[in-house]
Amino acid sequence: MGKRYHLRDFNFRLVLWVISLSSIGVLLVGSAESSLEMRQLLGVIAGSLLMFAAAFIDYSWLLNFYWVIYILNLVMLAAVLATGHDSHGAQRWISIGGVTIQPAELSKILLILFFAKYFMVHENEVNRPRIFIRAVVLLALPLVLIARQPDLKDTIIIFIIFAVIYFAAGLSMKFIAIFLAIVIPVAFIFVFLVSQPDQHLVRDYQRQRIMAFLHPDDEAYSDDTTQQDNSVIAIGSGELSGKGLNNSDVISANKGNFIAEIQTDFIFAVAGEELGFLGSAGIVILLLLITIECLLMSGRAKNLSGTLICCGMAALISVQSFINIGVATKLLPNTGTPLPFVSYGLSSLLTLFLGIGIVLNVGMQSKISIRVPGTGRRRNRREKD
Amino acid sequence: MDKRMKKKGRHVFHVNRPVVLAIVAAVFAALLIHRLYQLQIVNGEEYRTNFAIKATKTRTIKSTRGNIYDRNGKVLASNQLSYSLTLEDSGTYSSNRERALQLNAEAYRIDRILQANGASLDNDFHVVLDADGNYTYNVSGTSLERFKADVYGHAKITDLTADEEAAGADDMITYLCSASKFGLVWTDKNPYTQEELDAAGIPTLENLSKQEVLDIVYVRYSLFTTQYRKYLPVTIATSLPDEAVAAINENKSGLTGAEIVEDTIRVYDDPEAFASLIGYIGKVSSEDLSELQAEDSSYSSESIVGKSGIEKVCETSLKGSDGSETVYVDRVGKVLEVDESKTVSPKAGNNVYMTIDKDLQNAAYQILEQRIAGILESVITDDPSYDPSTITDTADFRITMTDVYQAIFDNSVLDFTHFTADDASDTEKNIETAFEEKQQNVFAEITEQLTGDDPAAYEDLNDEMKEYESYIVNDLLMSKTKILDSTRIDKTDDTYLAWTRDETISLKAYLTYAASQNWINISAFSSDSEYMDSSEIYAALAAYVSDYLKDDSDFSKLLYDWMIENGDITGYSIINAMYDQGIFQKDDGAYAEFNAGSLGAADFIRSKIEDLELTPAMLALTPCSGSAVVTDPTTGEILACASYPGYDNNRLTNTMDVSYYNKLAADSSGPFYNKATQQKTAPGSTFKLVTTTAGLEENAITRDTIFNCNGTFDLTDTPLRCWLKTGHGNLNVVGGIENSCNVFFANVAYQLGLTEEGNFSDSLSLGKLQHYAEIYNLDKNSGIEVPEADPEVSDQYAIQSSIGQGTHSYTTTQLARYVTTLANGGTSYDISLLDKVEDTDGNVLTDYTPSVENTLTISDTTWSVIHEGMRAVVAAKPEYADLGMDVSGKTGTAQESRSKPSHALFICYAPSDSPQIAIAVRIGNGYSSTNATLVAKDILQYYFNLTDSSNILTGHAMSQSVASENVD
Repeated sequence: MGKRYHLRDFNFRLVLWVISLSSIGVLLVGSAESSLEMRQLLGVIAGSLLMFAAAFIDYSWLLNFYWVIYILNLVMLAAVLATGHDSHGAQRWISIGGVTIQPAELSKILLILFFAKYFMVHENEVNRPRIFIRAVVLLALPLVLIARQPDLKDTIIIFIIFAVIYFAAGLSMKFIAIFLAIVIPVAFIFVFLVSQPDQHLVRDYQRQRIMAFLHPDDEAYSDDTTQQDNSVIAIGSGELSGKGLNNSDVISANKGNFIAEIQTDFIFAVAGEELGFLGSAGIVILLLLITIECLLMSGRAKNLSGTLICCGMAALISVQSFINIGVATKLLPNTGTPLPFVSYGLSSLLTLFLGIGIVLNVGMQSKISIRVPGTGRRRNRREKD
Repeated sequence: MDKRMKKKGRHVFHVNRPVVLAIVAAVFAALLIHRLYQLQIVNGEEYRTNFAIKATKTRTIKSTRGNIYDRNGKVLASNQLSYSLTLEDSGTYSSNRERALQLNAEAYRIDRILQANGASLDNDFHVVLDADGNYTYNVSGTSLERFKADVYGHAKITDLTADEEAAGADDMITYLCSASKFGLVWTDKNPYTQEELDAAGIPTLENLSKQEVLDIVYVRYSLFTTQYRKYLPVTIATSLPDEAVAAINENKSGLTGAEIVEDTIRVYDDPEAFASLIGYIGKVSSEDLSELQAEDSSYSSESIVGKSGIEKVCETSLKGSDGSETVYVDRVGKVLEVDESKTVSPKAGNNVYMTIDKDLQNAAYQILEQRIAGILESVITDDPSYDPSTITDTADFRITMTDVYQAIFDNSVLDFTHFTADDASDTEKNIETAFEEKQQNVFAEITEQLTGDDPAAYEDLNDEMKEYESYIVNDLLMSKTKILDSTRIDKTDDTYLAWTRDETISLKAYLTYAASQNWINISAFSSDSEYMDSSEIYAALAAYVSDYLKDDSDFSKLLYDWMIENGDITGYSIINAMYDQGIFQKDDGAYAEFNAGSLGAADFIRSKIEDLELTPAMLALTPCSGSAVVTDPTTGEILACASYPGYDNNRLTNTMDVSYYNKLAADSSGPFYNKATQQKTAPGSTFKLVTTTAGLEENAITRDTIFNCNGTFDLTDTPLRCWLKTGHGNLNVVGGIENSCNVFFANVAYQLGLTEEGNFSDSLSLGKLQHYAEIYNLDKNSGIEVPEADPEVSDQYAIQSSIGQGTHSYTTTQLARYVTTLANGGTSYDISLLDKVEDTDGNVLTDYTPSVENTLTISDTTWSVIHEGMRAVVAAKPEYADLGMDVSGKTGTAQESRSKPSHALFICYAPSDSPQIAIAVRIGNGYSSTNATLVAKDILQYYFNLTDSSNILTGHAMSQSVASENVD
């Protein structure tokens, strides 16, 4: 805390991408459900403030409390299971002082911070089996809690984020090869087992959605693909330039309520329908720019934990985006995950801004300025602490 | 690799890892953009079009059906503006719980409003309340399974689970009330709070009556049936009275999606007199549909079409063309917008004008009722010495009071199911007590006969037991339950013959034998038949029979008949029960007199028939029916075509009153059976004019040929007796017609059949008679547009055929064409009911003129003989003496059964010199032709205004008729 930062180190480009994307999000949410536009706008403003605030909190100082962060995360997740709200058959929300939050969202940021520090502490031992096993155990604890909510997709997302962080931390190719040799067959076995009618691995509704995706023409699962089919129709019908935000076209998936909860998990359908290919591809590019910006900053971080925070955030944003858009365009089975910075929902919005804030702080502490004019190349030096 | 190199290599790899990640992210982004390109650019237009199709729906705007008018433009069938209540599931709710609560409350509110304003929901749900107020299904068999599949959301009946298939009405209601369905209750864990219920305005399930629960479930179920087509409003109440319409409109702000819409219902004027001609409308049957679709592709399985009569005949003219409107709908089919520019207005159907004269048709129907009632009244006897077994002349048949009382039960004049109701009167309860006692005794006796050691042979039983045993075998085991499979029975088997022909064995012996011969389908009454020996099977059958008979209304009627026969129920209690059931009104004067003993039962019944409070149709005794067809002989148009008894087609149209339909179908008087176009009888002496034509045209006789009638014609093997046993003496042909002398016409037939060798040939004579019947087109349908039975020209017994017996059989309408031809002197029209079809603007689209089937080329002499003869027939009738108009006609009394009175027939035209109308009348089993001539006389008086119509249409039985007068 109390460090001096140079404004020239502040990554305005990242902030520009994020604010642009969130603004599009506000407009899309407003078009989907006008009554929510103001709340989303307030969320973006609050998130931006949170981002700027976080940008000026020294992440290295913050990471000193990494065990506290870890324990706090576990307690929060346990609290969800104990007291959480029941919604759509899963307990994913808790109320704190009247505000309902979805701890799984915050949990992702907290775990990024924890593992960033954890791997830095063990920077030279990351490929030791002991450290590997410990890391896996430390991941498993929160994952089990999330999986039991039940929340399959967040379990998978967090697992991928962990894998990316570990990868960035320098996991040896040997481990990666062993890992892939295990994960790929396990994934196949998982899908096979889930396909069996009397399986106990996942909940029925989860199996239903996976099966619906695997067997799109089977009537038995059609209810679960209807949402996605309608989303695909909506996106497709947007063609090149879309029907326009808040259009008065009566033939509209958005206006016709063809997609339930369109303002959250299927906000991309609104984008596709109303903004067309130009708008929706623009959103994909903005998300990619944010990801790349994070990854660029990871390379300039003063230490490994900074690098890992940036990689973790990049993973979080890109994986969630890919799942969300993949679902909306029916590349993936139906699972509800918000589109970063676009979907309606405060938990997601605030945690993402918080994460970006921390990434910005990482950027401001890099030794080398962002770009050395004239040289056309980036310099990178790592500070050890 | 040295240490430095190693370290450097690791370091390089470190640096590159985020780049690897960036590349992966870029690849994923590219994948998404490619997908978007595919969806939006490559296939975008297709998605847009398909989506437009998906979101655009058309709904039908119903057209109105054309009206049916009489020849003078008086309305016979029209559409009455009515108001219906429709409901569209157009609300938005925050949760399923909220939705269930709000919709149920709305259904409850609607129900309350309708109830308070004299209206009710159109409940066509198949769960109803029984007499004890419990839920029960009102359908069974496949219909019930179909209903269950619909309720439990299965496309196919075979998808029903065992539980669902076994579900009783209570189970179904419980299921429908649950949170997963219509949510009249929410989950146990999370029930509705009192505040929630109060706010919504609906009591808890426990505080709703079963009827209210049913009503709410019905409304919710109606909405459920259009859950994916919410742009289609469901109609939940029709024919609303004005108060209900006003009340719904006043409360509309609280009734989301409820709408009062204008609708039409089909209304028939004077339904009883016209139902047999006009018919009724209803949902199209699959057979009719394919036929109609061939003509007009806009018919669908939901179409309401004419089911019989002119409604069916003129279906395509009367049908309007439905309009349509295009609406844009959301995911659940809720209407977002109506595209007015694409609305196609409906076009009303064309109006059909009939040749019928409405007033004349009504008069003819009423006259038939009055006259038939008159006959009935005159043949009811309470003479204790009357014994039907001694009657030789069918004209002497009489109806005893026992017959009357039995008819009151047999034709369901008294509703004996009401005897067990809570509000049954003391008289009704007493009858029920006696009935139950009788039932017990009879069942005990039947059981004794079935299971006892010493059952009596059929021939040794008394008449009553014989009838019961016959009922058990023929009705119960064979036709009703098919337990005794007639296809398996060996009809030449000795035991079978011993039972049926010789009557020498007992029922037990017969059934035991049938069981041993595998004639009995055991699975119909016992589930574990595999483990039963034949005596056990037999015991199970005996138990099944008693059990079945207990609730079998036909057997109950049989028991009542025998109770009346045996005096176990008195006429006194029957008549009082009729008062208790509101069939008669207690303030009618007769009630007091009857109960005081100053009015005897027979007189009482006669007085009720006299007042037409007890009609021939109600009793369905003999006679109970008749028909009259009036034509215009100059055009061949049908002016009236009445069939008695009729029915109220208003109750079969719009929403079919199923119980009424079933009652009509079971009614012994046969209201669905058109007596003018379907009932065929021998024409009797009305045929003698054909014989006359044949005789004269074939030169078998001349105008002056004289035959002597001594009462019997005996030139052929089977002698034929004249109705006047003493004989008519010498008659020429005009005299023969006038006196309807059988012997005279038998002689004509004989002459017609003489070969060149002078021998009589039956076939020669018959061939000539057939030829002349054919030139009158008696071998063809009359031309009437509604379905008509095919005529039969006699093909046996020339002598009998010449006087209208033999195997001649014609409908009244066919006789009407015949008399039309006689009246106009040789033009045989295809008589017709249809005048013209007009569009709604009054432009004539089709003008129907009866076509001429053929013109008879017979000599003027023949015509003058026929006309003179027919004039002489009526001139000799005393009842026509003071008519004030010359009428020509021919009577007919056709005997077809030794056990029933003869049919009464009369054909005539008037005025004699220039006929304006021709009439054919028939009263089935109407005793004497005089009764038919009286009907014709009343019609003539009415049509020509010969007397004030109040003297004709009296509303009372016209008892001028004479039953056993010996005339022809």
